[in-house]
Amino acid sequence: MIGKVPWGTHFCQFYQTKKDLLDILIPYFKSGLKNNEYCMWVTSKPLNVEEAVKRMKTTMPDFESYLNKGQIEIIPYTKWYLKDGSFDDKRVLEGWVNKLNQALRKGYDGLRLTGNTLWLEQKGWKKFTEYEEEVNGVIRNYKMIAVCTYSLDRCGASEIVDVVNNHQFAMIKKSGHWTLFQNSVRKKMEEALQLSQTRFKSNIELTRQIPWTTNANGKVTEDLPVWRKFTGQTYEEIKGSDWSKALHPDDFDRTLKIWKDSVKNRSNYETEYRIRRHNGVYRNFLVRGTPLFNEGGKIREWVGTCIDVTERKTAEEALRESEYRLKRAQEISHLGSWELDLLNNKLTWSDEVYRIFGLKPQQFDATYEAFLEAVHPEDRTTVDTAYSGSLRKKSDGYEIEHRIVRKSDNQTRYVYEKCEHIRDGSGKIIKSIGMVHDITERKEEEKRIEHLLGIAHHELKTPLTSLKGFSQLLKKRLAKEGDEKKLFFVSKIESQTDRLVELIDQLLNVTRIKAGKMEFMDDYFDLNKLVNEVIENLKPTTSHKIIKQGRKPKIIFADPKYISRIITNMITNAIKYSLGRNKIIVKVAGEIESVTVSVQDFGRGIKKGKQWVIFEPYSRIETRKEEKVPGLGLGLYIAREIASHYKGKIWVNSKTGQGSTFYFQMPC
Amino acid sequence: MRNKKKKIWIIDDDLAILQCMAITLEDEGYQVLTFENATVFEKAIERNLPDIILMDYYLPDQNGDQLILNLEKKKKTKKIPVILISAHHEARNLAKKNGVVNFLAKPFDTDTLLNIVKKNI
Repeated sequence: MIGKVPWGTHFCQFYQTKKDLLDILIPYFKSGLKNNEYCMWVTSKPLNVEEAVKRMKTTMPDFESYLNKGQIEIIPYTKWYLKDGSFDDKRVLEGWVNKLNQALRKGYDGLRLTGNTLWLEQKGWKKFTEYEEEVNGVIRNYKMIAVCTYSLDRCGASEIVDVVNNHQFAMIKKSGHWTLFQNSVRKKMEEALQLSQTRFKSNIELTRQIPWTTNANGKVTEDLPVWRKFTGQTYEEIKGSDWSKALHPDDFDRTLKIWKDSVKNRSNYETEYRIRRHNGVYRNFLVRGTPLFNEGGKIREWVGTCIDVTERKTAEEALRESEYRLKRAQEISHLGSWELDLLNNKLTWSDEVYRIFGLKPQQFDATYEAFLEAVHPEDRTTVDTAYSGSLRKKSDGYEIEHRIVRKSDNQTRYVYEKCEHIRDGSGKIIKSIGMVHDITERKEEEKRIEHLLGIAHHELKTPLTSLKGFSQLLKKRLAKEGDEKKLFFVSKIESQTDRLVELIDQLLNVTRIKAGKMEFMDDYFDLNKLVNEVIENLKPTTSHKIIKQGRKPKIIFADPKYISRIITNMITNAIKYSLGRNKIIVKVAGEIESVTVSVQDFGRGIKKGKQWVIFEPYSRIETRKEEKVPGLGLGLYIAREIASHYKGKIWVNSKTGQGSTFYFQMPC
Repeated sequence: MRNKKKKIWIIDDDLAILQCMAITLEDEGYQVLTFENATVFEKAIERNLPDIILMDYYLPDQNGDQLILNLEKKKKTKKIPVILISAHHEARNLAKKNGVVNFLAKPFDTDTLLNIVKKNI
């Protein structure tokens, strides 16, 4: 029962007879001696020193050798508790600790002791109880086991309560058997303490924390195994203030100052520093410490933890860096980003959006309505329709160009906005995110170019108008006179004038397409009739035979001027690229919801790899020198842009050496 | 016989175009009067009335649509057919917006010019 007990055990025995005492103490010391423990037996009535020795000898044949060796001391209470004639708790307590230290020095594992209290007088009870309480409080820190024996006959109920409270266990004889019982409150407390220590330990391990403790002056005086495991330092290397040698040199002075200030001011300690790991790599730690005070309000010690925050720190730095880059990029490009939370109508603008709108955050309500307020009054409805409409139609987003009035200087600015809607799990739109780009400078440049182009266009066409007019007048006169040769010359002047006009129109159209400024005058008309007209107009200019297929009227809704441009382009291309052949087939075919015009030639054809290039602006099909085909390479590009405006298509099927068929499909 | 000739008035700031159109139309037997700006034209129309007006959209002193508006305001001029002529594509759209259906794009074929006049006179 009392043979192998852990260090720090402090229990009591209530006895009635001498035999009771011997029942417990003989095996208690026998076990201690065998376990290489230093033993101390302080006797009192009813057992004296001699009898104790005699009893030990009878139960333990080799007891004499232990006695001679000096492993056990059996002394009367007068030589211990009442050494100087009275009981002095401090002296007795120090006495035990000294005995223990001596024992450890001599190579024993610890101290096993017992003391009898029969000598205690009633008046000394209170002081002794305080002493026992203190023993009970500190014994866990020492390699000591103690049994205090109390005479049951001498104890009243309140004394028994005191004794039990001051010991971890009490032994009492119950129907002839010694039983051990534990104070239930104490037991629960111990269990709770045990549990909380286990939890604390797991928490520390799980969160990769390093716990630490220092004395009141901030010096390390106890081993810090977790710290040592991390840094690879030995206990000798962390003692005092040497632990700080594991800090990053750049953090050293700052950290030590904060630590010294905290110790001086007795305040909580919090800082971040880098600690060198055993492998030489520094990691970032968040370090917190707090002083623990004793009852007198003095700092007893400091406890704290170091929490590894390297990942968080790295992520934070990466985030900061990327936020900074984004901010700079937005500034440089005048491109801001925004987010509208539809659940609470909360609009978030990036710094650049505020700059674009010339607003300060405190001037802006951060709602959709406040944004609309900043839009140019004439564009407000369009913008609202675009946004609200896209929500109503449940589309993925929208884009729009509009004007705003910059608050800071009341200037009208042009912006381009693109927005995307974000949905929740059920597909409901809950958020819109978008970007806004200040395009005022580009817009103004475009306007300047367009204006210049408009002037150039007008100025070029004016002389061409009279050139063409006079050529035609001359042609009429010469026709009357019957001068065929002169008539031929004038026809050449006229057709070259037409080519010039066509080139000027193409250049203007390309500029308009790029600026998104094509103006369409849509109307219902018969596409078949239009194709026939184009063919009639082209017939006099070519020696090719143009065969027309398909007769049924096909009514479409579009600008006939532009559609005629597409058809003309397709047929003139066919003529230009099939010189030497004499046939072109033009076909108008209706489908369910569309109509397709195809133009087939029997010329060289286009290589597969080149077939997509021909729809790009300024692209030309390479030809042999003797077959150089005039033009800017804009015709098909313009045709494709017009077609796509009407949600139509234009494409080609071609085989080298056999010719090409161009298709133009319009919805109807 | 001379009195029966239809009167065509043309307004354009480009002299060569004016001459070319005048000759083309005179060859067809019309009586043509040309004006280089809107001011002179508006003065003349106070005293006399043509059967048809051909006008360039962009004039030095006034735009074509303003001139048309002025003509429409007066009872005696509001029924005279007007044909707008311009090298500008926009002018055609503007003309349509203003209810002018007759538009001739520069440069034009003389035959087209004659057709549109014949149709509207």
